[in-house]
Amino acid sequence: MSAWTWAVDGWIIAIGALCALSCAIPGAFLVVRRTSMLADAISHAVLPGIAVAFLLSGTRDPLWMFIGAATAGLMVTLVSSALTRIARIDSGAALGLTFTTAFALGLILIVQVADTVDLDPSCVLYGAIELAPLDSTLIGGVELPRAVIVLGAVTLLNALVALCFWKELTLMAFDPALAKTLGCRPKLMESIILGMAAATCVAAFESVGSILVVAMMIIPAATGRLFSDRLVGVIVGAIIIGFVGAISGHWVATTVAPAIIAGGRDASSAGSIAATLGVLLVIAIIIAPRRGIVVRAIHRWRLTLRIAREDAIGLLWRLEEDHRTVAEVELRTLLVLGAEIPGWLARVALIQLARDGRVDRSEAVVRLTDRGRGEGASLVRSHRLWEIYLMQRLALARDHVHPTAMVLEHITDAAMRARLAREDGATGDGAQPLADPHGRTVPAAINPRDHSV
Amino acid sequence: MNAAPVPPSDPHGDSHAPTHGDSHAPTHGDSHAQSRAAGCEHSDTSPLSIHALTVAYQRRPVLWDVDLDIPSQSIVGVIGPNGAGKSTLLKACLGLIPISSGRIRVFGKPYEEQRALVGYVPQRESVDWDFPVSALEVVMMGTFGQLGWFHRAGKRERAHACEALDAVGLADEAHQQIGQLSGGQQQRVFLARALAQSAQVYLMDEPFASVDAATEQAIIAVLRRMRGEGRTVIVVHHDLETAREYFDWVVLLNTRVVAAGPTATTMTHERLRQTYGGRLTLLDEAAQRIQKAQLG
Repeated sequence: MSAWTWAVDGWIIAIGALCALSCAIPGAFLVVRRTSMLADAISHAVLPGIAVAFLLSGTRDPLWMFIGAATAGLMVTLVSSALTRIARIDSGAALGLTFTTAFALGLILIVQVADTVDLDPSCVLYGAIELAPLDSTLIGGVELPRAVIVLGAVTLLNALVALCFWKELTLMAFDPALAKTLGCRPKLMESIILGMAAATCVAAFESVGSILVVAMMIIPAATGRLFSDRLVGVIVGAIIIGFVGAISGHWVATTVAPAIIAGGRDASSAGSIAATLGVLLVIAIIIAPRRGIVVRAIHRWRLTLRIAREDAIGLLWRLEEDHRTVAEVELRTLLVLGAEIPGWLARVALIQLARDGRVDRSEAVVRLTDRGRGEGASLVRSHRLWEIYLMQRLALARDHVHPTAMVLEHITDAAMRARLAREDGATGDGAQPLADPHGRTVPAAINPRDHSV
Repeated sequence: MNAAPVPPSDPHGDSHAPTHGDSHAPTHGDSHAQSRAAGCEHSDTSPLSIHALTVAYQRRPVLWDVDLDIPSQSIVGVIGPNGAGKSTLLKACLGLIPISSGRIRVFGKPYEEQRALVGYVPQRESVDWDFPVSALEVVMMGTFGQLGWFHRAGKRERAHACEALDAVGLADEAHQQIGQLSGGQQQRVFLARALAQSAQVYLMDEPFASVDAATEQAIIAVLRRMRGEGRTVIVVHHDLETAREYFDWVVLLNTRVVAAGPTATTMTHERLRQTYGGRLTLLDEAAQRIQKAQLG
């Protein structure tokens, strides 16, 4: 375990964060268009692209590398769409087999030339973010790592392109057909997204490698989508997640990993950053607002409880109608049998009802309070109105309407009750009470909103 | 059979009564010399005029020799069985799919020059409703065509979009993510987007598909309002029952135009039978053989 030196670790984090920053915009567009696989294809195509560019130019000049990688990326997308058209291979499969084949070719080329020149295959695959701070240049009297300059330039470029073509890019991403009819050039915009992704892959592969850049591009954007329902929100979320991933990933690599596994040696920072991003995504899936597992579970639990409370009130109201009173134990049994509510849930529901002043369980028998009685009447009214409706309009058999009405009564509000009553043929003044299919009287409307439509 | 209908008599309009196509005299003029030379009468004033349009998919015609002059200020239904080429007709007019031959004119000029006058409402299934965008943002997309490159949508476009949303009764849902809207509401968002586009001719692909009765009424009310403002709306539709009530004019389509004209006189029993019944089986077979020969 080594202590952090900001001159080195600070730069590593900055480079990781810049990777995330540059990946955020193309990544968000790929994710919301459900074309994340393109990131895979482009990043894999980087390998043969730079290999060929290197063989042809003999330099590691980033411009040559970019031209090679962008050309290869374009060829991969063209070849795969041609495969779909000519050989009738499914588009996902065509893309997958094209980029893996291209990658394999690139691997052969790189290994062949690697013996003679300074191009290390493992650096291309996994990057060398730990060494990146050492390769620096003087810019305006300040010594900056070359990776920071390259990634910073690509980040600026991506931001500029997104600002200039924001409306065309979003329109293309959402509805290419309308984009075309409005003259917004969707094909050109699609190429711009691919170009951004290719440029970002090339800029990032030296630091984090051509494989991990996929994680950088897709995971933060997918996580951002869990937190936001707006494209801008997705991009901002991706940037934040990317930053958090870069900082905590590097911390894991230098502090946590050596302490527990690698025998005191630092782990790969790039690998740790990508792995941390994966962990962050899992956490987001659990805790995200609205879409998260926890929130959805809470929502379901609240709904279950509300239905149990309403069923208890409805049951008490019906018992009162028959001039019966029951002790709490008996009431719970009836709820378990009649409404299929687990015993413990019935207990919780009754405790809540008593706390809210809807039932009184202080005596030997459980009674409705006035408030509870009013709500019970509305509920039973909904139930019986639905039974009439289902028999009259859907011609359901008399003994079939009850279970459906049991469900519908919980989603029926006063406005819907008023419409139901009218459809069921209730008189305006309510002088002639309706009878449900089982001969029971539909309780009169208590809620004043029952009368307004 | 030449199914080309009669163009309206008064396009620029002092009389704003909807043209129901009961004038059966084609408009003639010097400017029509060219179209006369091409062997068919066509109007420079028709919002959408289609001449000898053929669209083929792998040599199999989906639309074949379609001739149409859509009357202005009208609600026009395009009706036909599944696979009749109804959506293809709209997409071909909008340049979304390549055409094999034929010519399309919008107010007498090629579509490419008249883009701004033509609005499009695609089928609801054509987009991903999980896309992270609000109803208002989708409606604002309708204004992008008028903005031009490098201009961002601003307050004016926002106000315009809000108005359009209000017109379809979705003002309260403006900031909802589109996936949280019901199917009928989503369809109305598309309609609001078309309104925000401020076009003169609208091509709508199945706007009534799988919407509730209330939405259907809301949509037809908006279409009538658009007609009242002098616009023309062309609607792909599949329900014969409501067609008579909704449309001033119908196009009965089954690869070819079986008939086109005012609804009352065109939607006859015999013509509907022609449209939905007798497929040209011999031609179908011939097309299949061509396809086989190509692939083999």
